Amino acid sequence: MKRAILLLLLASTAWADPPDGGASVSVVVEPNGDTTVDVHKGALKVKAGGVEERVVAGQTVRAQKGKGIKRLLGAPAPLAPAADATFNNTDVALAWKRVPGATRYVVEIASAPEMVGMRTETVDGTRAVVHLDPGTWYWRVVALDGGGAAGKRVAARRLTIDTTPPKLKTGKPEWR
Amino acid sequence: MGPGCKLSFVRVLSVVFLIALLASCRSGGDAPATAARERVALVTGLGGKVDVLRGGAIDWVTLGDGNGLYEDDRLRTFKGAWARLALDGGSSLRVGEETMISFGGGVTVERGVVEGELAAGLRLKTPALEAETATSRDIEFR
Repeated sequence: MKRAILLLLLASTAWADPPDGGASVSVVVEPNGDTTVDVHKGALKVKAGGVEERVVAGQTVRAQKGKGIKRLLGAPAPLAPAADATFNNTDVALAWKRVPGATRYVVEIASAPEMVGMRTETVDGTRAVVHLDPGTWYWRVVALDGGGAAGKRVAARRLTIDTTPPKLKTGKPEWR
Repeated sequence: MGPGCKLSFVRVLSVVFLIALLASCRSGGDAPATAARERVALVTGLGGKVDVLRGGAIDWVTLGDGNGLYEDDRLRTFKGAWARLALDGGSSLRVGEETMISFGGGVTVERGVVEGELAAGLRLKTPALEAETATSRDIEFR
């Protein structure tokens, strides 16, 4: 839930320029101490488990207590459908950009932007056709590396399925 | 000195003691004890319930907009709460809900969500890692 709120927050944030030589970052520390650091601008030196790495803008790392640093795969950029698209059929084709290093992708779909109670579908390629009931849906894709570790998540895109038939225009018959 | 005069002296002494007691119990503001410590940040905005545990204090008190934060202070936000901090040195931080951070040799995020712009040289710690802004001097030429 907290992660979803952060993602929404991040999606709506225009990152300010950091002071000279600084960095714009977001840090999430889970109750067990596991930490995810996202660098938006600038660069950070990150030390964990005796290992030091340089993390630059656009990169995300995760560290577990007493262990080293792991770089997370980037979030797949959605290609289609466009944000807030509306469809009149219940089968929707989703497409996204390939992420270097990803072996599979998980499509996450939920009826609320917090992605609570989401359903998931794992696919090999960068395209999936999903069946959705009429209503409003939120979707996003997460890249998986060879070890099955999930990459970055971004704010979900919204789409609407509206199967209401169009109203017929009726007029008065005219005798000719 | 008559008995009436002695009685009024005791009354004045009681009032002074009471004022001193109340002053020591006040919450929210910068307690007099913080004056001796170095200020590291200023609260530039907040929403919801945000508390501070002053260095050396036992009780958490409510943090107010415009209050200072000092070395060894800890800050916590509750559900739905947030705080915006301007750190001495030029960094700015936004502290999300259900977050705890502490000050001392940099900023330690104990749990929760923090985002912001870090000035060069600011040290950021969590239970799992330590981070510092990497300046151009850190670039390795190979």
